[in-house]
Amino acid sequence: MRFGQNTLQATLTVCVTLVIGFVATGFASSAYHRKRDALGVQHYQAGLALEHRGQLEPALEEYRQALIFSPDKTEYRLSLATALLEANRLEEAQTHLEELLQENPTSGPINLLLGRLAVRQRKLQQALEFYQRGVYEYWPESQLWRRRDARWELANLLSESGDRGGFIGELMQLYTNLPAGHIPDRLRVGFLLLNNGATSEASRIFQDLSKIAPQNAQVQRGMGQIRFSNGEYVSARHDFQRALRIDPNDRESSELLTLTNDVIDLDPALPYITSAEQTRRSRNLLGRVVKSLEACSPLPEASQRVADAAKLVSSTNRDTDAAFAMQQAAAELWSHRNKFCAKSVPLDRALDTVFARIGHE
Amino acid sequence: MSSERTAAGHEQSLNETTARLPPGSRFRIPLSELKFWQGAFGHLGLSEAQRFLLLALLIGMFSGLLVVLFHITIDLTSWMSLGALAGRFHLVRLLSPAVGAILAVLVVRKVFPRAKGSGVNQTKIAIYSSDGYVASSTIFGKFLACAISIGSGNSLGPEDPSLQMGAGVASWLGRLFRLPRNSMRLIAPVGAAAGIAAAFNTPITAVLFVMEEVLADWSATAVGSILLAAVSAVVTMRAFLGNQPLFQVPEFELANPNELFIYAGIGIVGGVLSALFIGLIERVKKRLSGLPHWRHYVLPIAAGFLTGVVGLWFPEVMGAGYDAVNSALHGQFVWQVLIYLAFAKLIVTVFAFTAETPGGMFAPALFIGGMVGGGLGGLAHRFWPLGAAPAEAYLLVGMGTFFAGVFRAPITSIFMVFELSASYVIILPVMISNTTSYLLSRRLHPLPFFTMLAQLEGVNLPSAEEKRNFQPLRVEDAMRLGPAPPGVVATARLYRDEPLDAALRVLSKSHLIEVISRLEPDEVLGTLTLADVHRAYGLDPDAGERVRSRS
Repeated sequence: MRFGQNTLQATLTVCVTLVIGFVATGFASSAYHRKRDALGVQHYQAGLALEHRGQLEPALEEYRQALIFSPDKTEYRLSLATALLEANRLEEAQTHLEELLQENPTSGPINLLLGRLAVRQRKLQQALEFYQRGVYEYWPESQLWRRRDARWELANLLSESGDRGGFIGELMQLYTNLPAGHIPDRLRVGFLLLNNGATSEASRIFQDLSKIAPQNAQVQRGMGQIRFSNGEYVSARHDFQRALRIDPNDRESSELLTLTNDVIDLDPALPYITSAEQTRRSRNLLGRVVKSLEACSPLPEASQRVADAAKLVSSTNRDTDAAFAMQQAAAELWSHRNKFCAKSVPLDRALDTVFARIGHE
Repeated sequence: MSSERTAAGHEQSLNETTARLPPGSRFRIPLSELKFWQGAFGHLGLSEAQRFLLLALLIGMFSGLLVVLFHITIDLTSWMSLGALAGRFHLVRLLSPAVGAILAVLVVRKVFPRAKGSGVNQTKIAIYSSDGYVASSTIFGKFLACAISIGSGNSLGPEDPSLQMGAGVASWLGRLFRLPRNSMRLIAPVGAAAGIAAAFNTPITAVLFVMEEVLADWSATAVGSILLAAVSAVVTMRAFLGNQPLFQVPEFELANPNELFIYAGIGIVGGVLSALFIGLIERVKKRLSGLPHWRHYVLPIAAGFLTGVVGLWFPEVMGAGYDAVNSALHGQFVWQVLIYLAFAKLIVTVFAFTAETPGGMFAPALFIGGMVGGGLGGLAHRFWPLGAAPAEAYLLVGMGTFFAGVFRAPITSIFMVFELSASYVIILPVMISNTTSYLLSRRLHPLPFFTMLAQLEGVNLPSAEEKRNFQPLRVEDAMRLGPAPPGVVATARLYRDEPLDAALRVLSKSHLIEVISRLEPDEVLGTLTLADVHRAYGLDPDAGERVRSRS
């Protein structure tokens, strides 16, 4: 009986102590975790501030401290990896990023950083894979704008790697996913396509833009550039003039207008011009080629041809044959100029455009 | 009456014989002999074994709670002494370990004198010489002193104190339920396993360590309870501190089969270094023991100050050092730094430990081994012509290597790394490296770490190492070949491969045992008497007879 009573007391003591123990430990651990998290946040914020001020080394230390307090925080580890990448400590950054990827293989931000890392390590193929995953994997709602960055970087990488098709495709994807009101990025896509010869894709974009933002000088300039590259110089001239009316300080539109006017003044092969006008333009063309050759002191064997051409320019013959002869002479001299003077004399864009067009036709 | 006397004579003879048996063997008490806790839960119809398991569950929960609080206290102390404040003021970092050390020593020397010494050895002493009794004051003393000491930056670890605190909790519960002596002896290792499991967050390792080092016995009766206590302690601990493992281990890879040579090399270095480490501690401890009484107060201050000075350049060596190991596992140190850290930690740990600053040795051993392994691995990664994995992989293996060499617990060390890494690929390198280190360290310094400490304190405790060297006698080693002499009837039978201890038990009730074959149970291979057993043990064969005739 006595034994039984003692055991009952002991059981009660154990139960009460256990309950008290659990409650007390619960309070203590909860306070501990709060303190731990707070210290983690404190170090993380300090790291962000230091990184913002460009003090990478102390920022790295703060991020590491933050991770000691909250080792599970992907955000902290990601910031540490980003800072390590900035500090060019690629191996350390790689270790952190690979771990993060292991935990979260579908994370866009992690794949993007791994892409950047691979670019730094000159692993182009790997970089492309990571960037592609970075673009197409999951991004948190608050960071969706960064997916665009990933796409921009991927497009640039594709361009650098010579994958023109991929580059254009990525730019078109980027354009499709841009918010409606985001004109600057749309313009950037349009001009990039234009500069990379994707005129039809660029044309679609600028046509869209001219509906959304007709009073934007850059949109008009873009339209002008497309028309210019299509050989529609007169329409292009109108677009550049429109752009200048909207923004008189737009230097590029002004330069392009001058170029377009020059091309119109020089191109004898444009349609719907009279034979007299064709002869006049042929003369202008030859005259300008001769001028450009004079600047580069041509070889002795070309001197005679230059002199002959100069005579041809000053002749008053206005028939079609004369125009054709002048065009032919201009083309020969231009090819000679490209051969011997390309390095010493800056390119005359108007002449280059005209001869490219004549050669193409 | 006469038969009673004869039985008493047998019992006495048995006691005399078992007293001369190798250490450890007399503590094998079958669970069926446990008679405790008769009242509690009796009405639930629980068997003795079930009650013991229930008690193990409770021990695990209490130990888990205690370890959680211990962990929190260490961290809070560390944040206060080495946190943001120490980051700004180097003087705080410099002096914190010394101040912590003297406070901890005062706690142990003046308030809780029972909390002195190595947790593993104190637990073994409790099991082997005081029937599993661990005073409750030991729990408080260990908790407070070690939290101050480790939290303030002294280079020691929390696992060894946790082990003793677990044993203390078990002992307290045992006393509360008025367990008999034999049960008390069984329950202390259960608590020890719970304590170390919660501290390491590795239940398998904890169970193996207790079986290998504390009990020095693989055939321990309480293995089920030890397992249950370890699991319940880890579950309790994780409920409060989360599922974070002790180390954030990156994925392990064996880049090339040739790497196994590097792992063997790490095993060799680990073995030599661990033998040197034990030897160094032994020598320093012997030297310091000659100093007057003031050494108990001055030496911890000096060791703490040294830790502070080293900590100015290598703050990673302060405290248990798990954060630094984690950083190293994430490739944050180049191999040269890993080697520096290993040696810096080795020096400060030897000083802190020999100065008797409260705290354990597991964490520093893991740190040193890890850094050495990582350093050598980093070196190999750079210069090994056949290609090698990054340093982090070697770091993990290095931890087990040094552990195996110092504590001579090879099985525990292998499973520890396996459990920490959760990688199957790691098993082969770990086995090669740890076994090499274990064998080499054993050869260079025959005494294991805890045995060496016990011997310095003048205590002789059983160890797994002794067990490994000891070949237990079997029935066939003592039996006389052939059938029983005519006229003598054997009343008991044993198989030839059974331990001689079993024969002793049977001989307390029977004068003659027939030894039979397992394959042919009817075939009698030989006979066995008490005199034969005495002869096999190298004792006077007539001793039993004399005792019997006296009684």
